[in-house]
Amino acid sequence: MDFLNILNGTILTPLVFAAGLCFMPARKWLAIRWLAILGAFITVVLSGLAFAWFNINDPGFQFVNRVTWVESLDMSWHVGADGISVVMVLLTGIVGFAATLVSWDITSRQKEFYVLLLIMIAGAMGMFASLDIFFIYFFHELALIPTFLMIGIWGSGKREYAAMKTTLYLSAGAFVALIGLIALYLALPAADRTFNLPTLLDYARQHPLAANVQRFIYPFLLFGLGTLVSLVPFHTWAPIGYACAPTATAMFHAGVLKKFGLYALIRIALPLLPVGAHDWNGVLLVLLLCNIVYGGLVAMRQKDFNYLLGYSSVAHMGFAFLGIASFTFIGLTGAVLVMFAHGIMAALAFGLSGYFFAQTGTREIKELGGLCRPLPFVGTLLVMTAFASVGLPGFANFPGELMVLFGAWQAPGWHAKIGAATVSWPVLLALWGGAVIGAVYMLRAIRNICFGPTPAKWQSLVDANIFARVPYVFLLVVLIWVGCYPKPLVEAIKPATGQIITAIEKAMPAVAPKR
Amino acid sequence: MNFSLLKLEMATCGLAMLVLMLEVFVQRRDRRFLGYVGAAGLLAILAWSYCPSVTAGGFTVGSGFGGMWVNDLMALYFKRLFLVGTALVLVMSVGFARQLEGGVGEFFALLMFACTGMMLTASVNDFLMLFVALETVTMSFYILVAWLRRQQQSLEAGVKYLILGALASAFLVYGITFIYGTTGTTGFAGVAAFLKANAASAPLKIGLLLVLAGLGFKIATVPFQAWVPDVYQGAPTPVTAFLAVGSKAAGFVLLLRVLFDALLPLKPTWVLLIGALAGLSVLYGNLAAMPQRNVKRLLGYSSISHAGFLLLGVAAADSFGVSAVLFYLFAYLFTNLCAFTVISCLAGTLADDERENYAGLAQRSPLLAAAMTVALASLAGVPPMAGFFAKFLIFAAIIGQAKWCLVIIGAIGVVVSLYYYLGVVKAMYWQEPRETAAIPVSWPMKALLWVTMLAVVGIGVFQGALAQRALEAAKELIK
Repeated sequence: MDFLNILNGTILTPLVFAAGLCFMPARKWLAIRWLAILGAFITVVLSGLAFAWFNINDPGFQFVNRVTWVESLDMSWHVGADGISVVMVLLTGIVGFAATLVSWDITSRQKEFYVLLLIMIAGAMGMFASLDIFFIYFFHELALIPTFLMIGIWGSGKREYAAMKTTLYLSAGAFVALIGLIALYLALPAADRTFNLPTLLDYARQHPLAANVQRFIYPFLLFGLGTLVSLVPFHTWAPIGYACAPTATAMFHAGVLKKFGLYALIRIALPLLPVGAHDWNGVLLVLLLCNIVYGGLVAMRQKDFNYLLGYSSVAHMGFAFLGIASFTFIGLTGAVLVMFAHGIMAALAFGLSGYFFAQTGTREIKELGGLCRPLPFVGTLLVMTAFASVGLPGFANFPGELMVLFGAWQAPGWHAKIGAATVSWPVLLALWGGAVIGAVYMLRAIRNICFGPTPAKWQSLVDANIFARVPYVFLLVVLIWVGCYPKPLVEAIKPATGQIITAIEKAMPAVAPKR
Repeated sequence: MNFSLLKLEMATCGLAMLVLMLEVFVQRRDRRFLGYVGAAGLLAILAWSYCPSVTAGGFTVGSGFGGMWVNDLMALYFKRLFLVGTALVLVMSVGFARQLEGGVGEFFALLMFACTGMMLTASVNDFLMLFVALETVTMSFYILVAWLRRQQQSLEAGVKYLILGALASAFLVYGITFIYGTTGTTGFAGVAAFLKANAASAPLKIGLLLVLAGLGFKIATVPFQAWVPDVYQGAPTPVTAFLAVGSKAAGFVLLLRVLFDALLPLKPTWVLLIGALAGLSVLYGNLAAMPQRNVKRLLGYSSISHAGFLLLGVAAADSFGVSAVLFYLFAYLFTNLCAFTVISCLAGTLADDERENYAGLAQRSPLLAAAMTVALASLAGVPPMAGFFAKFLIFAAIIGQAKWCLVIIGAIGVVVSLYYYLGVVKAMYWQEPRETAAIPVSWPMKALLWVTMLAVVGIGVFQGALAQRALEAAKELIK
């Protein structure tokens, strides 16, 4: 294994720090915390370097390192990144660093907490940097068990129930996806079987899998991975899981781990099973619109701010799915951008919510009020996060969702005649769900939390100090930077999504999507 | 008569007798250290099994004793598994010696006699030999299970094991008489040749079913699982561990030999039978484990479900499925030994093995809680533990055979099992302890915990070497 490979570095650095922390005495928790922050910092620097060194003119996989692992199954430790992976690696680094920084509120068993958090970061890095289907899955599962322990030990509210529910849902989803992946592996003739993704992609380009095989395998991946991304009707774990999780876990899970399902759909399912994806697209379209509209409507009725954020993330995931379902170049590129933008935005929202909770001890929207007065800095940040969530221009969500909607508009067969105009009804519904419902619940919550009269009991709250501000400001800067200048990300993503669309076009000339 | 074929077994048996004799010369309070002598001896035999003279050169690889005995790669694979398992169980027993109330030398010797029997099972190629080897194991276990003769639970477990075990042996020997009566031979090769030439008559089918029933008792599959929970709960913890890893593996090697050597012509029939038993075991074991509150009992039910998962691999009935079974058994060995070492370390401190007593274990002993978590995660099949890759191989094997019904049952089993395994983790990590006193763990037990934990994670991450060996062994079985 090449230890100087930058992707290996992003995976192994948090793991090495986690292993090192195991041998620290638990009472030196401050040193442990700083070491964990150092580990996360090195990781974010490495992931930033990977993004900076990434050559956008090269459409193939870069920073490749391959070591044979299990020869008889053609399984290998294989890292490498194209534009999609490198953006997700960058997201993992940023959110991981911010999540480590915000964890001031952990006051018991800090050692275990930081070990688990670092393992989670390593797992997320691994699943985005790996090019071997087995390891992609392996790393995702590696990040899952820390989630269970963290919600259970450091969570709040109905944490035991939430930990169990989240873990069972996610494991069941992951397991269904695993069955699909194994079936995909076995669908190849015995001599060509491999877990190696680039080889598989090459193979599928030359010998597409039979259409009925694709139609059979794709639902395993769609519903298995969909459960991980809280696709309606498998979404109920998300709100309660995030409501009860400790701040860092909610940030990291909602921001990064949840994207795994989308990532694997784009990376594995679309190029390898294009016919299956196309034939199941109708089902996906209905479900994702449920995500956007139904998720948004339920979010309107929430009384707990974290539940609201949880349902809003269910709704936002619908946009990413819409980009995938559109089967268009711009839609798919937008979907990846939405994944990045939502990752940063969700992390920021859950981080700020965690700060409010640490200060006030409640997440009931009704109980809070007028918090901008005692907490001007954090309050302002929350308002800006809400703007980002609503999709206001200037924040990263705007270009992503806009591209997704453009893509959806181009998608063939989604148009209906209303009067004289031909409109795409999914776009209309998504626009209504995202822009109207999303604005209603977010702005109403913000009005109740930040403005209005300040109850006497909240007068004495203290605003975040300079240390506590760092992670929030860091995330917000990224959010605004990508919102105002998304070009570097889009330029990196474009060659990769272009290749996937080319593969689909080649496999299905009849339903060729538009560029 | 080439006795060099038997040299590993003879060495193990000799070692057991040596320990038995040494006991006379050792002070009473030092006798428990004989366990280390036994463990070191077994590891030496394990190292010897890697010598070129044993593995190659022909004189020990091959069959002998009129075809009753076969030494192939699979036999070697299992012999090594039994040696490693018994050595670790011996170390665990040393830590448990205070609870054993005397006679520890005999206890160690019996463990090694059972190990000898298991190593015999690995090479069985004849129904008579099968009976002899299996009874060597079972007889030793009759005594071991009832060892704590002052405890009602242990006695109850002993009686239960004795009666049901005797019943299973009766099935077995009765079945063998049917087979001999109809085919005129007891050799696997002879039976296979007979089945190839003639259609199986009803008495022969009855005989084969009775033999399979006897083996089903050993591997604890439905519907022969009734003894498992009580015996697992009542037996001394190292014996339970040995039952779980050794006895089960011995049952599986016999099952593989009988199915793939003697009954190969009947494959289409037994694939259905094994598949049905596998599905039932997975469902029964996992569903019945859900309400359990006693950790040892819970592991008993989980052992039934794992028998089901292993049978799934057998039901795939190709070399890949068999290699998955072989890999699974090794992963299961370290995983279970890790879990039972934790239970045995707690035996002196906790009143019993109820889950409530495990509450807050993470605060009383972080190492024990971590080891138990690793073991349970591996049992549940969570990466990066060995159990994950084992289940991965099993599922790959049955998906490869397109047995979708079994895939669905297996998937249900996996998700259900997470619930009860995580229930124990939950108790250990976020329930408040009743007492807060730290639980002392002696350094040999610490070493054992670390060894098993590292083995579980090591096999789970670096799967290649073991998977390769398992595949080679399986390919030799299925030509």
